Amino acid sequence: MTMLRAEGVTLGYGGTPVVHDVTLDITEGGVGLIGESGSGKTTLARAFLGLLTPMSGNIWYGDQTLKKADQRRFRKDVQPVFQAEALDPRMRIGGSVAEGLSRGERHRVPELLRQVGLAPELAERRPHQLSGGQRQRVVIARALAVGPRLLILDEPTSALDVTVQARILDLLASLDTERLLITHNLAVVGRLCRTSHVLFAGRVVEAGPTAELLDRPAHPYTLALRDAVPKLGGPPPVARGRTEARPAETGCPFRLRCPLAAAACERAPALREVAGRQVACHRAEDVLGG
Amino acid sequence: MIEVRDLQVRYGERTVARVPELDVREGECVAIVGESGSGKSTTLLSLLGLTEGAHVSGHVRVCGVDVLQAAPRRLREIRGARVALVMQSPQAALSPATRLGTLMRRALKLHGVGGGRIEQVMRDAMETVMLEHRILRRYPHEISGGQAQRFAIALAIALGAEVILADEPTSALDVTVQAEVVGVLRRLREERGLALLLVSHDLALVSTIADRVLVMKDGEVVEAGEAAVVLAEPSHPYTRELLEALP
Repeated sequence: MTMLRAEGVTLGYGGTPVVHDVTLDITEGGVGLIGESGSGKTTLARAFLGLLTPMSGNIWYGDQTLKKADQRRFRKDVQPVFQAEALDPRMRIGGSVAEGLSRGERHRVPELLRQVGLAPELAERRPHQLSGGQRQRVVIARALAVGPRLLILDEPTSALDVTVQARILDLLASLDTERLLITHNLAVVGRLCRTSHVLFAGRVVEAGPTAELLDRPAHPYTLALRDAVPKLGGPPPVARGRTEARPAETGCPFRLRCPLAAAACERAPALREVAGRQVACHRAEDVLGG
Repeated sequence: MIEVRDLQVRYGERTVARVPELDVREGECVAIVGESGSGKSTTLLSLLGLTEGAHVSGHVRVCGVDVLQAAPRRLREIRGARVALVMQSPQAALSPATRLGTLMRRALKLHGVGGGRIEQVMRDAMETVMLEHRILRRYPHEISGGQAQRFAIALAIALGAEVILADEPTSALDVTVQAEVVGVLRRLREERGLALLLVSHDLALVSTIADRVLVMKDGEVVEAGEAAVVLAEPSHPYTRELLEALP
């Protein structure tokens, strides 16, 4: 079942679009949104949270557009989990977790802390008295307090040590909520998301089952992202194409970075079905064929 | 290039890093891995005498200079010129009101590179790290994180660095940009015999670039050896824990 859906959404700031005509369903099993800094991932997440109104297109929440939906229900259903820096430094942990709870429900704070693997005694502390991993758990506990059906997670583990990151990922995988995970780390997506969307310069360039995308990328950008990730004992990470080249204003936005760019790429490619996924590339068959 | 024996760094009564032995030879990459607070950055900074307020004992020799005994003037001579420090966010260390070209020119003059040679040295260094020359006209805030990191490396090369001490040089970068920076560092080792001491929490990255590795936990070296051996057959439970945590 699709709980949230972006349909032909264009988003921007001050009249300048940064996300172009994106259609994306948040379905069961976790959805990953992958891309580099500036690809528009966080902007799209803000739109899904109702924090940014689309310049065109709609965000659907069930059978209603987000604008017309019952905001109270929406706020309860969809909760953000940002990096732990978002905690109020002056507030005690218990107060932060209880923010979304009514007065009568505040007794649930110890239970929520326990659910994310924290000792209830930490409720009396302030954020600076906790480690990075503990703070990230507090942010998750705060989101869980209102009983959401969907968590929108924006780089929830990128500032953490590997062992701490592993425990947070275990925690997220064990939760009974749907998730939209925004990250630049493909390995993390592989664990938590059944489907993934790869974003480049505000456009979805490839979307489909995460395992397929990681095993056999069909877009040169997905391939570049995958091969740039160092693997234990593997060959050195490969830098494919120049990352400095700006997205092209016309035609395929990736063509100035793309080692496979050809004359055809001066025409903008539309998303099309190739090998069980959607891909916006004239050379997808060549990428798949190696 | 780097020789460390019985290094101990203390703040008051508290020992924050203890390294019995660490050698980095020409053209070699040694990595110190561990989590936040393990003492890896402290170890790195102590090699340049940059651990202010700490009591440092033992034997530290970098580019032939006895770091713990040398006069401040002698240390300043190797810092920047023969030994370069590349940090996680080099932009923070660059003067925001100075164009990158001006900054590099000043650094070269300060280290005695003659006027006539400066432009050529700058051009060569920028080419080596694959940065366009026109970037030298920009201010630090006008370049990306990956460009800043490569500029820091270009500066080191221009000054003739033989050793680069790099503290999480790519952890703030996108994976694609990280691959580029790592590629530049690998090439410098191979082509120029640069010695690299890398501090990182990313074991996968370390496994692709380091010859040897030291694993640190709570200020102590818990395991050390050839990277291929330590990371394939770790003997310490903490190394195993770090490896198992990889996503």
